[in-house]
Amino acid sequence: MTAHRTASLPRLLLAAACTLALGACASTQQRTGGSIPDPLEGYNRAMFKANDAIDKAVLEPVARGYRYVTPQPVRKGVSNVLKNLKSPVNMANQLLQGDFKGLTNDFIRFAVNTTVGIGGLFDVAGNHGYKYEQEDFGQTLASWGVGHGAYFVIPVLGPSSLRDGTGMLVDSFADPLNLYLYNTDNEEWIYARWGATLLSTREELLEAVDDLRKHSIDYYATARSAYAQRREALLNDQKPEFSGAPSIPDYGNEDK
Amino acid sequence: MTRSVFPRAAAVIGLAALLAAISVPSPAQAFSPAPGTDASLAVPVKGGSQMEAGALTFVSGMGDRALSFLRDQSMGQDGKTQEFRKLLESSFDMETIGRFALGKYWRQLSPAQQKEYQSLFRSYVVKVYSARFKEYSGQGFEAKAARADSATPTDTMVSSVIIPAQGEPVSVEWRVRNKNGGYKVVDVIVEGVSMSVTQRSDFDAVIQKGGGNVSALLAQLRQQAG
Repeated sequence: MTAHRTASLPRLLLAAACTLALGACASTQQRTGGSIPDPLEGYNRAMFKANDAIDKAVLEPVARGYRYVTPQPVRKGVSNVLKNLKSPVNMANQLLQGDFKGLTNDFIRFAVNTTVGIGGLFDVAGNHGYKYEQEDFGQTLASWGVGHGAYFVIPVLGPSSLRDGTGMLVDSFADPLNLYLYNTDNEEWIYARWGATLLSTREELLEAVDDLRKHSIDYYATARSAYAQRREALLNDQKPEFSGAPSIPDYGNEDK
Repeated sequence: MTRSVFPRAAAVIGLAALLAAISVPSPAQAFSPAPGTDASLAVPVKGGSQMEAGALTFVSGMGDRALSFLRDQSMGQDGKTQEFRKLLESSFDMETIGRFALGKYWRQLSPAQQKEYQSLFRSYVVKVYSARFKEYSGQGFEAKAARADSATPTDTMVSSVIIPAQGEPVSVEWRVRNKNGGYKVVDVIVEGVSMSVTQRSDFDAVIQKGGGNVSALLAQLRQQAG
């Protein structure tokens, strides 16, 4: 039984390699201008509403409490450690995307911040121009030519897509630290890490979410658009020349 | 006893592959420019680097102007809103921004309605952004670099950062159009998110909810701007 299951792993890798070969033909700079297909809108709107209620009742107050009781350098340290722990997964994704410059950048960050930066507490590398880049398997799939599929609001976690949600699962299960904790019966630390990441991220997003919530007529549609554009920017490693934003037409010359 | 992670991992990868198969690869989603953006129609007003330098100075000056009234403690909220309205009229191409936000629905409106919409849109923008001033807490602003936009010869992209008193700097890009001898902002892109595109998605959803009728949006704007 186990033998059968492990034997399927090489086959999956082969399938992944084929996908890679096919994906190489596909353009990596997909500009969708902030649109994302939303065939599941009924479910998504309901889940978004539920998430918003959970957020207002639990996540946001906890994040505000966290901000209130901790000074900024402490929160920065927590965020740095969590980002540093993600380095192996980031590097794997850089490799899968064929981004060797990004891979080198992440390797230097990981090496320097883990040692000189005391376990990732201080972003020493970032201060010397080796900036953090968020890489995930969703972006890797995108670089292979896989589209979003459909917008998908994940319970509690919020805006995502079939592609990016899949990527999140893959990243989580391929994470060496998670594998180690799981194999040594320390699963509770995996959940602790998730919780800390959720809290730290929510705290960083306090203003942005507040702003979207207050200043949009249709909060759901605005958040969906912001999500699609943000993912596109990350996919292009935030190189502004590949920003997803479309050109704005020159209406004066167009007609009249 | 240590547990093997492989059965679960294999199951998850299988699930992932399934989900990935559902997410259809879509090269057709590749960006195609909106009609009317034919580059040959647009005439560059000034030579490349001169225009870029001009746009950078323009954004920098606009930032200074905004910071001077935001930091002015003797000025009340109404005064700041007044200053912002002036800044908006002089430095932003509100006609273009408003029209882009309405997208394809613009043509549904009669000239009178178009005029009403543009006026409502301005009030709406002033209202939304003046609410944001209240959250101003000493952030700094720095215009950093300008580059030509290959797709639109009249436009220059100016990158800048907003530096909070504590926390991470926020990257903001300005799409600056050189038109009729002057510079005007036509889009603001915050951390990769275009305000114009986001606004259009918001409006589009409101109109769709109203059965594809722009009057649903106009009613909302009247209510919000009032």
